[in-house]
Amino acid sequence: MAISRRKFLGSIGAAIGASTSGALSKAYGASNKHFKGYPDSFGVLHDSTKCIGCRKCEQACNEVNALDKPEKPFDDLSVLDQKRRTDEASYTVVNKFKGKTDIFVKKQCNHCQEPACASACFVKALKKDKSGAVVYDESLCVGCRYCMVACPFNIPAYTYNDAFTPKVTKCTMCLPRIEEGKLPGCVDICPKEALIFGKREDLIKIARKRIGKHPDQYEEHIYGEHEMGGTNWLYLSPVSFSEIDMREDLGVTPAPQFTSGALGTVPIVVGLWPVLLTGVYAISKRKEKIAKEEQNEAVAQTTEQLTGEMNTKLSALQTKMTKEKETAVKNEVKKALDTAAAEAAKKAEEESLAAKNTVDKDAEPAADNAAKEEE
Amino acid sequence: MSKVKSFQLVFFAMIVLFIMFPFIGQASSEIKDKDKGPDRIEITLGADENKNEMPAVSFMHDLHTQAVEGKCADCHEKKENVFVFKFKRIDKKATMDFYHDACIACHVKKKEAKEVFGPTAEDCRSCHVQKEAKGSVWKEIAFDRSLHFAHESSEKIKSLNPLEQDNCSRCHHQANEKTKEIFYTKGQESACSYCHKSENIDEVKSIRQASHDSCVACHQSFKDQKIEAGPVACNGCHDQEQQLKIKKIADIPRLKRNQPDEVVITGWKEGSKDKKAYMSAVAFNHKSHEQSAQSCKECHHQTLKKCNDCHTADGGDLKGGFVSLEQAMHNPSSAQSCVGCHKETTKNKDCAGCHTVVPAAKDNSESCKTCHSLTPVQLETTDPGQLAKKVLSDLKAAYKKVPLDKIPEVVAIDVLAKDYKPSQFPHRKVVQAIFERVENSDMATAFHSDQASLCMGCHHNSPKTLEPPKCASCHSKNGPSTVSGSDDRPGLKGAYHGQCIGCHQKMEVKSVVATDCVRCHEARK
Repeated sequence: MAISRRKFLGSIGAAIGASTSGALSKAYGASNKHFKGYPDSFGVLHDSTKCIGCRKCEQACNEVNALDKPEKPFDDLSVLDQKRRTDEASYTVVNKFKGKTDIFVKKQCNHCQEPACASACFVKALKKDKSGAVVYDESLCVGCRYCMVACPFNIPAYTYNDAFTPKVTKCTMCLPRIEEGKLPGCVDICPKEALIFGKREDLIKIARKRIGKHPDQYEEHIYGEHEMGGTNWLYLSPVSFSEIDMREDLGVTPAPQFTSGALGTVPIVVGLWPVLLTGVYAISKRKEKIAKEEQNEAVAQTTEQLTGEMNTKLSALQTKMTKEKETAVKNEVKKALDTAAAEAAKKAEEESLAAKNTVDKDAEPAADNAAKEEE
Repeated sequence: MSKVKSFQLVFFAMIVLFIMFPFIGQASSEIKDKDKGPDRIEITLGADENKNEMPAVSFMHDLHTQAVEGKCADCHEKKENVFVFKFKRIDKKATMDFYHDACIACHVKKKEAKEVFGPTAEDCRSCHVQKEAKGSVWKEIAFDRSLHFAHESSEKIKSLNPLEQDNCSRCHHQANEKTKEIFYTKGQESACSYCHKSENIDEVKSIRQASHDSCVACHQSFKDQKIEAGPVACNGCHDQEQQLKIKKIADIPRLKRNQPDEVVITGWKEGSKDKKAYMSAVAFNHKSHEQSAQSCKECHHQTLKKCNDCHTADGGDLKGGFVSLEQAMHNPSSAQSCVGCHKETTKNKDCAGCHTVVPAAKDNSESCKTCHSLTPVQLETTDPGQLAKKVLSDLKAAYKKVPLDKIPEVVAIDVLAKDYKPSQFPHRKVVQAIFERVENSDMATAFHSDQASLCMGCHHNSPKTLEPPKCASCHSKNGPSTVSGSDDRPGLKGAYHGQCIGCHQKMEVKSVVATDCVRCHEARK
């Protein structure tokens, strides 16, 4: 293993950085850059002041998409007496609202510029196409139906009646027809041109023109221009949109932006935290080890020091004692010698008197004895 | 044992009751319909709400009228034999103690007499309740031409001067500014609201007080004599439903105030030397405008003087609220201006077919001449009134009809025929129906003096001609163009359906349902 600890940590850090930086820039991107939809994407303008509620669009949609035929035929207008929503057999419905005169409003997928359904879909079965349509890929769908929960307009439906291959259903903006150069089925058939198809930017301009030309016939608002970041299906109405059952509480923030912040931090948490925690653990472990080593060293040092001190003290004491002993011995010897000398002098005195020669012979052994004791 | 059983029974019954009526107390807190009545008067003495005052008293007037059996004198005092509609006083200022004493005294009397009685001294919050005035059905009553005529033509209402035939002096009056005395001059009558504003100003009563003191007191005096008269209770005038029940009189004669039949509206003032610098004058049919207005106030919104007394042609000044004569006459969003009112009239079902489906072509220089037809030079030589009369009668005579044989009878619309057979459009029938509607109105004939101009409603944007180009020459078969810079012109299919269905809807031609496709073009089998 010819890899140093520094190199190993460095390479891991680089790998984490690379994996999280993508998510980080995305999260920031959502908050300071404004996505205005795909340029030149298509849309439809529904002018409800022109709609007469003939249900031809419903019929065309049914035929184009080869859906099940409904119980009541399309020319039965009594259907309009009930408020309806889109379901698996009808990608679009027309609802009637009582006003000064009856107001008819067509309902279908609004093809959001930043769709909530697509952001909720974790297998990318729903995607925003650059043509403007929000398209559904049945082969990817796992049937979680999160898209149905996510949609602020209550549009996606589910083929609950199909036990084995159920799917989510919704308006396709007739993308296959658009690609062939045809108009969407509903737009093509509308006798009043209450639905017009074109580039979204151009439709907004047309809608503004209509409001400007007939200010008393229109509510001064283009529904879908900004709602939830804008939709590719746009609406004009003679009354306020809440009166025709269209939500005015949605705000202008695209749905994905509500979650991008929180979701953007997930890679950071997943990628960075294990490293961080392991690092913290390692550092604390290392600290403990160092502390222990230092402690041992200190103990050893102290011990050594103390031993040294003790030895010095001991030796000093020994020297001192030896000296004292020597002194004592010397004193004793001196005393003894003095005594002996005194005795010898006394004896010599006595003996000198008696016999002068014998004194020297007695004094020498006494000196020898004193020397022996000293050792 | 039986005791236990009955206890259980009661307990069980209580639980059932609680489940059935969980919020018994709630019903009483809702505002009852009674409180929305038009007779609700808020008695407030200008109390400062922030100063911990009791809420104002919500007083139901009609309830009290019933309680005193319609005897006004129980609460209202008379001054010079006429009721003053202040509570129990004439000129005295109202105070809290005054109301407390007088109201409660009556309630106590009722209580002692064992009758239905109102709250007494200890029930403060029965009168002082915070009530939402929202949803009240109170509505201002408009004293329109019909009501005016009902009073004017009434034989019961006599003039103050027995020698006079007309009874105008009974209501109309002027005030001497110095002596504050009220007097009447024949021919000087004007609307009440010119002097009586929304609030009391000095000696001048507010319109509310003035009308109650005059109208209600007069009605009451008749009722006292057992003579049929107008309403005295609040509901009679101020209830929306009651208002609809008031009879509308048709064919009302003109007001008798010596107003002119025709007038000349000039930018310059009389005696002006540089008349030529002004726009040509307008011959105005005052008489026919009187018939279409509900009251003089619709145009003469502040006084009955000439328009250019306040709105000067030289840019407008303080007197005219800085609205110049030009703006006063042409502001399209003002109900008092000529253009504003005419524009509003085009929303009528007889006009809306052409005027709202396709917006009128931009004004051309010729269109000014329709109204501005009198040059200053003409006016110098002839009497203005006479000249105006002549111009207006000429205008009426100028109505030029299109010969019937020039109007195609049936037009087959087949350019788009695909799912349905071609439509056989009964062209002449439709044209005649439009002509008929126009001829009902003097205004319409004056402004569409050539019948051919009525063709231009459908055949719009083409110069006036009896042989207009085909629809398909402007409207594309391929549908509307939505490319950048498009003029939002409908495609051919949208143009046909938009024109036919739009017109049928706006002109309320109900015989053909918009969704009945085969009614216009048979289905292909």
